[in-house]
This record gives sequence, structure tokens and C-alpha cells, in this order.
Amino acid sequence: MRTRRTALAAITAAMALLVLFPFIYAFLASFFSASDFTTSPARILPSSWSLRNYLRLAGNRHFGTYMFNSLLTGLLSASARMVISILAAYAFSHFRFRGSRMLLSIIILTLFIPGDLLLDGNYRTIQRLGLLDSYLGIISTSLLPASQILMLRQFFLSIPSSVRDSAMMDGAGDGRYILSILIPVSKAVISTFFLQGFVSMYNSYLWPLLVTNSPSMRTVQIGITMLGYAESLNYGPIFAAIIVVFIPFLAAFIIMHKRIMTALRQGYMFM
Amino acid sequence: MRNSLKAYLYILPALLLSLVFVYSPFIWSVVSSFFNVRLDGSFASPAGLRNYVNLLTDSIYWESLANTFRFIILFVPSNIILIMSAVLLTEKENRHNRVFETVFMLPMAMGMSSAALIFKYMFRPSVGIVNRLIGIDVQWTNDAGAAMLSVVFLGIFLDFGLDYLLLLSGLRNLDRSVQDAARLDGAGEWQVLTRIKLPLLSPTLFFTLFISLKDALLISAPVMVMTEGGPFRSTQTIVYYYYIEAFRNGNHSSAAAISVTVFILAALITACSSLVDRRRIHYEN
Repeated sequence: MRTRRTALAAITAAMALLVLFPFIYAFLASFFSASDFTTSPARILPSSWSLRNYLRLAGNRHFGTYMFNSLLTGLLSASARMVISILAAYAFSHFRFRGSRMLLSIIILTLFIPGDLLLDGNYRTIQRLGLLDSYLGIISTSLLPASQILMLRQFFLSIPSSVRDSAMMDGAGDGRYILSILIPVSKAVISTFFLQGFVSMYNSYLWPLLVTNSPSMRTVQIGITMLGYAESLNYGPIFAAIIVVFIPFLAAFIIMHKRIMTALRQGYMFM
Repeated sequence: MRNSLKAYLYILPALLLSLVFVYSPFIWSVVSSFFNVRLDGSFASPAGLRNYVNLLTDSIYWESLANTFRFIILFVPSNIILIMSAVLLTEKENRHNRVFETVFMLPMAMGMSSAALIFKYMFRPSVGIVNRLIGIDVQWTNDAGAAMLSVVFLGIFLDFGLDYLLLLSGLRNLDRSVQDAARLDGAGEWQVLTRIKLPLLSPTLFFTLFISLKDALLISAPVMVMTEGGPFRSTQTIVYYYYIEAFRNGNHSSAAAISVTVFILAALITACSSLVDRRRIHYEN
């Protein structure tokens, strides 16, 4: 029994190490000098722990802009998604109206149409609307979180209708009810969705790549592939960028760990 | 009446977005697959089925499709087995496992392009860290099979966090009493796993399988960053080919026809999964 448990623990640790390895390697490589990347056999530790790659990155005139664009579009997209899905989920859970089933299925069915195959058509739409190279263009296709609407609706339905009735009796309007009752009781779910919305925008690649042209509008996930050091075979600053971009997320995930687990336990999870 | 008017108003943004960014480009794709489309996206003349006939004789199309299937076959089973093992190993909620939970969901926090770049450099032949650690100089970037395998590793890494969380929550939310009763009756852990946990978990398991199957069918961006489809197009997937036709070659008709065939494949996967779903519900009743 004892040895079995130790063996299982060893396997778990080995798997964790395997999953962690790319992170560890990226961290170590962010200290590599240009020649450290081309020694054979490959280096594991850098030849020196100098911060040169981070300094070069700090001196890059575009990197700050990339970061800013990513943070801004991430926040914009996550907030807009949140408002849109809370409103829709509220309507679908608290109102009876003609065609509600059909309208809900129209929204659900979007889940079955893969977005990556709509790039060509969506690009034309954004072009026609004159939104190329704009923040609105970047976030446009990320604003419909159909799965979030579904799950929020489910969650809102689980709140007893007497709660709303008494709130309305006390003269609270929809806005008041949503802000002071609905949102507070669904805090864990909503903050998980917000994080998810932020992550998915911040990390998205293809769409922002397509709809932006000028370096001043690029987001960081595209930016790091274009930092322009690769030609000189100096990958160090790229790895430094990867680490800098990742750190806020590491922090967010550790801080949010408890809430994510709570949302999970309630059965509301990322899709 | 006043109330329902409000409801429509609240739904309007979501509805508009689905019409503008999902249904209209979808219909546009289907329609343009039957037209000759100019470089600027306007329709030149009806093409009948010619765009589809052209695909049938397009060897790159078949090659990309075959690569995608190769990826699916390698990726889906290994992905689910690895993630399921991680989930089972960290099933209990305790202090150690809290650390492992964070580690296993961490890939979710890393951007796709960051991960793809890291993998690209890790899997270089002769100077890459992977070859040093395994002690064999695998030609990851020159050999078609090895290149595909490296993309599969990347795919597993990218999907790990989310699938892990989904399955972990599924497993932890199972009713404990059945398992405890079985253990009291002398069932071993293996029996508890295969006779109770896995069957009870099967809805979540099917769901995860379905998601990873669809992800695998649609994979494109990670390939774009890591291998650019190479060597010799051996890792160029079908959606990547769609992207190349639409945005590099400006061949919107061909891109539209490709997208329609992939829509159909995705719909087939969905249909199969809902069939399995229905069978399972009957079984439970």
C-alpha cells in the first residue's frame, strides 16, 4: 500500500514536471545569450544570469504598445461579453415572451459553427465597416459568448423567483436587481467567466493578426512572433517577452484558483 | 407586453452579434462556394459545382485532409489518456493536490503563440533541448512523421489545462456514496475505477472527447506558428489550407468550398456525439 502510494506520487510529480517543462525552459532560455541557443548539445542552464534579454526587450519600441493593446482589448472584450451575456441570460431566465425558445436556439446553434472557418467572411464585414486596425475590430468576433449565456441562464434559473418578486415589490428595477442581487450571488461564476473572457481575447492569435496591420495596433501574442530578433538567431528577447507576457496570468490563476474551483464545484465551467 | 419588450431589448445585442458574426459569414461561405468570387470578394459568375470538383482533383486539399486525420488519430487518444491519468492521480482534494491542480491547469494561462514558439525552439534538431534530454537526435523539422508528432505534443500541451479542469470537476462532483459502498463490499480500487467512476463519468468524458475531436479537426494557428505547415506541407492541416487559400492566395471560391466540407465534417462529429449522448441517457433510464 505504502509503496503503491509512493509510486503514484512519483508518477504525478513526473507528469507535473513534464507539463511544467516548457515553462521552465522558457524561463531559463530568457537568460540565454545568442550563442547559448546554438550550442550542441543544447544547453539547459544559461552561460550567465544576465538580464540582457529583458533589457533589450524593455528597449524595444513596440513591445509596450503590444502589451497595452492586449490588456486593453482583453478588458474591453471581457467586460462587453459580461454585459451582453448577463443581459441575455437575465432575459432568458426571468421573462416569458413569445419566441424565447427559438431565439435561444439561434444563439445556441452558433456554438456548432466553427469560428475559424468564418474568418474570410468576417474579415470582409470588418473591412466594410471600416474597422480594420481598430480595437473594435479586434474584439468584434469575441463578443458573443454563447456558452456563457447558456450557463448563466442555467444559474439564474436556480435562483428562486420569490427573490426577484420581493425585490420588485420593494420597487427595484431590472438594473437594480441585476446589480445588487443577481451579480453578487453569482460572483464565483461571473468572475470565472470574466477571467476566461480576458484570457481568450488576450491569447487569441489569428483574428487580431488578420484585422491589424500597423505595429501600433498589434496585440502581444502576435507581437512576440514578430519581435524581429529571430533573423539574427538571437531568440533571447523573444523568451524574455514570453515570460513577461505570462507572469500576469500566473498571478491571476494563482489568485483565482479558489474561485475557479468553486465555480467548478457548482458545475459552471469554461467551454 | 411591456415586459416582453424589455426582454427583446436585453437579448438584442447577443442576437445581433450572432447574426452579423456567425450566420452571415456562414451563409456567405456557403453561397460563395457556388460562385466564382473575385479577389475583392464580390461574385463574378455562378460556378455550379466547379469549386467542389476542383477540390476533388486538388492534391494539396487531400494532403491537408490526410494530415488533419493523422493529427486526429495521434492526438485524440493520447490527449484523453494523459489528461485522464492526471485527473485520477489528483482526484482527492488536499494540500499536495492543490499544487498539482495549479500546475496542470497552467497551460491554459499560456498564450497559444507563446507555447508554439517555445515548442518550436525546444524541438529543434541537434541544438534543441528535447533531443539532448532524450539522447537521440530526432529530425523534428526535417522528417514528416517527427514533425507531426511534435505538433501533437504542442496540441496536448495547449488543451491540457481546460480538459483537465473539466474532467477533474466531473470526477469530484460524482456521488461518493456508491464508491464507498462498493469499497465496503470489498471492491478493489481498479474495480471502483472501471465499474463505477468511469461509467458515471462517461457524460463528461464523452463531452471532453467530443471537444478535443473538434479542436483537432480545426487546428490551424498552432501549426502556423510552430512549423508553418512544413516540412514539405507535412503538417499543413485543412483549416490552415483554408486560411492560405483565403488570405494568401486570395482564392475565395476555393476557400469557401473547403470551409463547407469542414463544416460538414464538424457537423458529422456533432451528430455522432449527440447520438452517443442519447444512447447513454436511455442506458441510465
